[in-house]
Amino acid sequence: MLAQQLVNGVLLGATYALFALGFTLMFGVLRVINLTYGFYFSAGALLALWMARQGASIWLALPLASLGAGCIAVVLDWMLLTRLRRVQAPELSSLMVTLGGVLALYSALTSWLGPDIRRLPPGIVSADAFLVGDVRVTAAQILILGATALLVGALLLLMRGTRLGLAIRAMAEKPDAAQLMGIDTGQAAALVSFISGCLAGAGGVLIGLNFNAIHPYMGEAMMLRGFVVIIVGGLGDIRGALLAGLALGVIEVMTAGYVSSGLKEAVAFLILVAVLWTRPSGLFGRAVLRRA
Amino acid sequence: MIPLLDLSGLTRRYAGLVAVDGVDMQVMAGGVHAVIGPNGAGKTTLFNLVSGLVPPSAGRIRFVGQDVTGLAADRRAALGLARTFQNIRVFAAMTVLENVLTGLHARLAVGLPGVVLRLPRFRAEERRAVARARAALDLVGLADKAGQRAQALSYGDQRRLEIARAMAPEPPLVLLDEPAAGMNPAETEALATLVRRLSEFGATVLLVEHDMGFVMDISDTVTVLNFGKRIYEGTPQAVRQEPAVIEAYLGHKVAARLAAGAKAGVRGAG
Repeated sequence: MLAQQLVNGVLLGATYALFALGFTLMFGVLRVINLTYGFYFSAGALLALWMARQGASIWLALPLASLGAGCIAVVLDWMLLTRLRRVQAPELSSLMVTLGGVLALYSALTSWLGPDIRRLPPGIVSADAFLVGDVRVTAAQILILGATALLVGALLLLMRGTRLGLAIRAMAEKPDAAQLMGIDTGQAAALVSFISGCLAGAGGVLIGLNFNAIHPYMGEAMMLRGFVVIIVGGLGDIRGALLAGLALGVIEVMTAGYVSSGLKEAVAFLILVAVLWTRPSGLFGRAVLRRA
Repeated sequence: MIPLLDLSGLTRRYAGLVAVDGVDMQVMAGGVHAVIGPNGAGKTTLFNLVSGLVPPSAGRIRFVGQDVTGLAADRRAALGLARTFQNIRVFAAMTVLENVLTGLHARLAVGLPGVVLRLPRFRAEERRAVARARAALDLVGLADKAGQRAQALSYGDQRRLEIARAMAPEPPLVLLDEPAAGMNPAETEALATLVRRLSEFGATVLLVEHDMGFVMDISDTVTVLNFGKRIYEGTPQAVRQEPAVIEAYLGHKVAARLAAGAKAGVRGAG
């Protein structure tokens, strides 16, 4: 029972971490708490659902929905924030603009598609399950873990091992100096939006698979968890987001399993409060994109 | 001969203040050109205008014969206009080598697919970039610290690192913003040697500096600003003897005393 809960918790935590990675990347590089981020999660899940209903397999729907969410992120960032960046508006303006933007988007999406919870077509992932000892692991769970590991690995490789990652890290630390190194900061910002949107979109598809429930507002609930993870992990801290995401998943599943499923959110937010009391800049300290 | 950098009527107004006021200035290729002036003379604003961090209120900037007045800072950097900062702006969390590689960013030509797929062309280019970065570190004497985090370097070494980062793309013009600020006399002397070497390596150096001894030692041409205006330009020797400059720096009394001393010096030399 404990081992089973642990596996379920790690799986859930991996998707939280994936979602939070894009969020923390966006904040770390663009210095904006972008509240439209949850919308990319919903958009990814809905796109995958639509493609699956047209008969696409999950192998096609997952990457395409993820890329689609990335494109939506680039367009929304460009529409909502380019102007504010140019006039160097205070951070609160960006926060309010993205809040207004995302509420408009959610309600437009809901009035278009309706608020119902939708299910993926049966058989999109094989219903097989494997027994490892007495732990049951479904094919969907293996897919979730594999996709998350792949995306996280790709992100770390990009940030650590390529000149694009170098440019992004330079921009995260000192945007003016980065620009004087010949880095086109507008282009780098678009790239960061795209990567973040892809991660959120993939997270949406995977959570949709995990709970088999997709609806327009699903990104909204996820944003609360995203906040917990990136604040506990340290804003802009990639390694912190990974660890905090996994921890949050395990804690939620354990609370639901051993205490009460009604209390899992209470516990998650109590942890947020406790961490911020004792370590105001997150568990791992620095509020910058240092640990790419 | 076309000047490397040509400023005409360059002006920057802030509310209630003209920081740079109709400055005309030409920097010819080769050598070290210094801009000096008392605090608030507009030297740093002039640098920010030239590198593109601040748009001018009026005037034109030409670089290698091309009008760059409307170009963004990253485009100017890509054209070969490099700079360092008065308050050090190294990327503290990166290694020394990575810092220098960011300076080469604009010179790498392979696009995103090449990078992601790690095509052979990209890998060859990356090897060349690393070789160039190491050569730049060699130039400033930091080759043995390539793997260290930039934040672990001493103050003087962080300045050297900034210079290496600016020099890595082999720019025709490098702007040094108060390179000797905060350095002790020994470090300043080593820096003077380094700046001379930059010009031997083919870069024209344009610098802003407070330390007059340093400027007089290494410069070929000195431009003097006061209250945003160019008040004099000439060789270090000429500048030293120019009454308007001495007055701008030291006020009337000291200027008069120095003028008497300078005459005595000229007489002694004759």
